[in-house]
Amino acid sequence: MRRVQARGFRRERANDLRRLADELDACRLLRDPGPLIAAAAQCEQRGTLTRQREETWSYAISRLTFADLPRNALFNLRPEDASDLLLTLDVDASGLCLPDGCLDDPFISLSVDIVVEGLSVGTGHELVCAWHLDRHKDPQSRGNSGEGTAVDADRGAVHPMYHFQYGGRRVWEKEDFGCHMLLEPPRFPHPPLDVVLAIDFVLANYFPYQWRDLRADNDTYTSIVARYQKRIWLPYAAATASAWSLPGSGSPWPASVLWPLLVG
Amino acid sequence: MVRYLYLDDEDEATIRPYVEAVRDEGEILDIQLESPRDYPGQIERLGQDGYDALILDLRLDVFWKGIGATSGHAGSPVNYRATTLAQELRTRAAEGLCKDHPIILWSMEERLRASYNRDDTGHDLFDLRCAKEDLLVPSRAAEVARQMLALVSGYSEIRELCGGEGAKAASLKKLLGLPPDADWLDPRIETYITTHDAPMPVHDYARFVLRELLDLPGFLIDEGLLAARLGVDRETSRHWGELKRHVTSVAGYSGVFSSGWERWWAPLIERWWRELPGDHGKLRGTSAEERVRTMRAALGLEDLSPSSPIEPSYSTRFWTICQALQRPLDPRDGFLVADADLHPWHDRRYVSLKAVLSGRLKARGLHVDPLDADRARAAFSRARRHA
Repeated sequence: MRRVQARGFRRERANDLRRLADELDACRLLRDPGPLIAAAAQCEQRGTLTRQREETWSYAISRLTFADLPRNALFNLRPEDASDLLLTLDVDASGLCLPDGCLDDPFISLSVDIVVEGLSVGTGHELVCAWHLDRHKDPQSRGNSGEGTAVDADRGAVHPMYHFQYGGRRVWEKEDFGCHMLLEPPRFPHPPLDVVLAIDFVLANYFPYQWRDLRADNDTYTSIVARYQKRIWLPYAAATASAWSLPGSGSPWPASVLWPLLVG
Repeated sequence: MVRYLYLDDEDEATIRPYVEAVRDEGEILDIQLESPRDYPGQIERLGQDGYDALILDLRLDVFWKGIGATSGHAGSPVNYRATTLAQELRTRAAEGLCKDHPIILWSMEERLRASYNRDDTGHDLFDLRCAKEDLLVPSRAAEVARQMLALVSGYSEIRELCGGEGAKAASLKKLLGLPPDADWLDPRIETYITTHDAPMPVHDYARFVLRELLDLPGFLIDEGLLAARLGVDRETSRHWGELKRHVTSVAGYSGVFSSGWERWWAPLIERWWRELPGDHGKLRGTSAEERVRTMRAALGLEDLSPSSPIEPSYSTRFWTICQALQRPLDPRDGFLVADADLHPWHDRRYVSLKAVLSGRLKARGLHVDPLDADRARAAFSRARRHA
């Protein structure tokens, strides 16, 4: 992509982050929109060129902190005396400046951490619950199974290109795991999430009532989410569908059953 | 010589120590004392040439013992305050009826609290506010002297860059010392200039830069925040000065008023950090110890010490400072301060639990934001139970 277009590409994305920060701040769903504003500034800066001299964009968001978790997110909370919960989101993302409608992989790198930290009132111990999504750094295109899944070259484990798993650094660096055991697998294949979609994911799962209100009443928020779903999930869905050469229509599975976060 | 005209109704012997404390710190700074006159006479006097900027005492209507000998007039008690005078001058400057000068407010701390701080309406009229008692502290007097000089030169720069034909975004970047292709500045800052068809009065540009960019942290941060984000203890690190100079060369603010307000561009600091050699994490996500280790290795500055947290149990992933204790703080260990009228590019401010427990907030005019009030109350109760 030409440099001038890349500049407009980055500015558009930066402004989307600023608009998103405004909308979430107005609803008091973010404790501090600062990391999003900083990410917008970073996104707008000219990134490094690839070996093929292609323009890139990137941002690195650290500890974007949400408002206090509502009670309905704490259903089945364990340990029951966990308190002072704080949910933070880290997103490291980079990609090529691609035109709209392009079905290429939208990312060069991606790492998302959804972390909830708290304290046990009884013991005073720090508690953490963390989910990690990332883009596998070195995917193999075909494994011996012939199913087209990525394989971890080092350990032979199935390693979907984009996957969710429990844990991540914030959990692995702890020393006390109670009765829990951490393993790297399973890795759940999952469509990639940039910060817009990661925020929507967090709100849908942890702030469900506020999320429904936002989706119903806030056109700015919904249109931003829809735009990024199309940019990021459409290529993923197209790649998935290409395994069967199926068009979208005629499927026995309504898309909303598979993708409950889809707009419209 | 930069000439400030200072209007105060107190007697000369009382106010001379403040004047001399500041004047002695600024080699080219002259402060001329005068008593306030009757309102029409004062307006006429201030419309004349002969000074570059104005200092006003808040309550011009309290004591009148005269500085008749220095002003050459008999004088009489007046019944108006500094805010009234400043408003008239700003309006006249906007209409082109008089020159637009920097206006500074000097007053006793108790009067600032009792009168000025309670009334928001006059807050935009003054470029700088000083408690007179603070001026007797040499470091503060030196800082105020630098700022007074910077205000005069800054007004001049603004007049040259932004007056006359209407400013464009390029003028704003020039005003802020940024190259035209600086592509990371929030466009909402630039539109402050570009949405106005006619040139704004100089004091409006000055107020925007001072209030929205220099005073409140966001895109620009001060030395305290710089040290917190780099994780460095300024007091115990012999190489702090060298580190600061190095960071200034890549991220220092060089725009209008920079000689009085030392600031750094936050996005450029983060970019500088990302480009440091070595395998290090994001600046915001690393501990002070890791940050210092990275800088020691990358820059060869061995005598850097990491900042200590306010309490041993607090995190060292400092990103802000406790507004009450003025010490580095991870927002995770703090509570949001209620701040009205913040722009989207302003950083949120925080206070630590220790500050909340100490009861120091009210004295500093700080309140916990309603969004964090429940957390603060729960933490307060827990702390009291364990005490």
